[in-house]
Amino acid sequence: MGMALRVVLAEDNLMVREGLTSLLGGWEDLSVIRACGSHSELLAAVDALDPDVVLTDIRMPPDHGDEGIRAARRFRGSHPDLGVVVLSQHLDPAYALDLLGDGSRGRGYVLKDRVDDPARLVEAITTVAKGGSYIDDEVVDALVRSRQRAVDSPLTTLSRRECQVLTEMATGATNAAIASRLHVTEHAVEKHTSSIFAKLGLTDEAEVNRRVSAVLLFLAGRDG
Amino acid sequence: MTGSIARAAPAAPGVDLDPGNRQLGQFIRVDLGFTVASALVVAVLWIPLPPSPAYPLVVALPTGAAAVMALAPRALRRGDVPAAVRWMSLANWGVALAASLVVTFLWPLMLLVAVLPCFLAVSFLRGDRIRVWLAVSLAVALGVTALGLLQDVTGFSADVPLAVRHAMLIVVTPVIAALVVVVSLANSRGLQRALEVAVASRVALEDQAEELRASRARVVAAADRERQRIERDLHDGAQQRLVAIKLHLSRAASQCGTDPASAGATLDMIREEVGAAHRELRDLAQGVYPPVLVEHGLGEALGAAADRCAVPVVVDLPHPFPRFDPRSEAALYFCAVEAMANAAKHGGPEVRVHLSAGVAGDPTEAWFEVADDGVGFDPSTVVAGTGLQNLRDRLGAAGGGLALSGAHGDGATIRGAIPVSCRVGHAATQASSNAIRATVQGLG
Repeated sequence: MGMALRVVLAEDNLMVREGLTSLLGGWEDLSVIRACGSHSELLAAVDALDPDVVLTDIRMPPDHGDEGIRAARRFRGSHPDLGVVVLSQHLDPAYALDLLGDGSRGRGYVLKDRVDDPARLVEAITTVAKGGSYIDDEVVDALVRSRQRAVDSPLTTLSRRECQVLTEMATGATNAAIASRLHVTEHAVEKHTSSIFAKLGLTDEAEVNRRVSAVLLFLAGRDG
Repeated sequence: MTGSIARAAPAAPGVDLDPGNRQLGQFIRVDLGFTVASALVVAVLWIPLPPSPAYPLVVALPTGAAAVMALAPRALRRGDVPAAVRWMSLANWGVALAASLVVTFLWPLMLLVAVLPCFLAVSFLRGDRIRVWLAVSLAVALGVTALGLLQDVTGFSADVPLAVRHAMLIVVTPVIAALVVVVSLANSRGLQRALEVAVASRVALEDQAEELRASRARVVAAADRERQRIERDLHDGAQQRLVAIKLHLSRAASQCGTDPASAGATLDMIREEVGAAHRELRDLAQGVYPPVLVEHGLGEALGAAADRCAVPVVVDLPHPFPRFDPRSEAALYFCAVEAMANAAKHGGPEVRVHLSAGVAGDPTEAWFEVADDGVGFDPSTVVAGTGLQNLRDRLGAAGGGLALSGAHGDGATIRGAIPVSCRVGHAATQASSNAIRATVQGLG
């Protein structure tokens, strides 16, 4: 691997900001080049430093609403190659879907209570840096659970293994990653995915980024 | 500008006049008809009565009065009540004075004609100008009496036989008297009706105020209960966990020197404990006020709440769900969540809950419905429950209401609705409030 990924961090709470900086500082593939405390600081830092990845809190000054998602949407136009990981305390899928509203390429959504697991955070950062997507599996689990509970749920037609593959797909994992996590061959994963798409009536998306949006929208009941 | 438009609005052709104006129109027609009839009678009497140089004047009098009176219905059609009353009054006062001057024996009759405008003014005019009518009517009455008793310049009365004079007074006086009586009676009836309406609306207002006082007290009590619940949750949950974390931390600190291996295990335990505290706080914050409601609206918030419900909930929500004012969104959200929690609590172990919501109707209202197939309820016992009363108060505070249906063993359905102006309807609301303001200015 060549140069370390240049990361801009945005988080309004000083303790959390310092904690994240020192946590990521121990990782040699990454370097935090600026730590910001607000939405406007983040925009200025990205314009000035042109980083590889932004790791941002969802909720920041000035409005303490969804500034992180707003920033990500702006970067889609101004810095198309920039990866963005949004740290959120919201389990509600509405926020994750909002983040992916203009495409899932290079976007990550990680629940804030998982930041103490540096490996996951770093995985999210490196995934979005490569243009992939990373959705916290707890958010996906919540979506799958609610979809399974619905009457006449199409998920009841899936086998247990297919359900696991679907969940992994929704987190943004590639076929290779799914294969290694579930301890099966990549070929088996491909067979499962085409079976899943056929059963759910979705068009088979070979491209992982388009696939994650399609699956999430399906799980949220927005597939039409 | 807008004020004058608002005032002129009732005058548009084909628009119904209000009942008071319609009554004034009837009086004008009766008075006008009577005046025209007198002109005809006088003209016909010209033939049998002895010739008199004053006779053309006698015919001209009621004819001229009728011509002036004819201006009144036109003013009334324009919606200009004061002008109508003014033309009627001028005609009556004029004919009273002129008739007493020419046909002196008619003065008792003309006395009634002189005071008729006064009754019209009291019934149909507002404010200080009524005094002007009172003064003029008294002055005209005085003039009529004086002219009738003290002179006979034309000598016409002397030419008319006594029997004819008496006959005219006997026949015509009751007609004019009746008109005066009817005008004052109608006025009195109108006042009594207005008084009854005022009393009834005052009673209704008092009832409403009483209900408002009661519901305000209940809302305060509910808020206090909610604070207690949050305090208890914080105390039993996060605070206890923080205490445990502190204990573990001090143990880890002492272990660092003596037993570094166990210190690592203790730190892992601490991390678990912190994670649990974080989850508890997140769930608590979610219950206090879910941010998704503010940022993504009722549809998303209800969907997420249905996911968190303890029993399976089938959700039927339109997407995208319209946005409306935050107060109504919050009221519907918390009531729907409470209704789902009720269904989960009372519906029995196998209960299935169906949640639907939407925006419909004219005027537009936002609604939710929580139906379950559980054990149902007995309407006579459930109505008094504080839980439902809280829902009613909450929706009532936003101008909405709650409906409950179901029977024992047959599931329950709770439906809440609030009239809303969706964000698309904002312009219409603005326009109607402008119109109200313009009308108020027009009246003032």
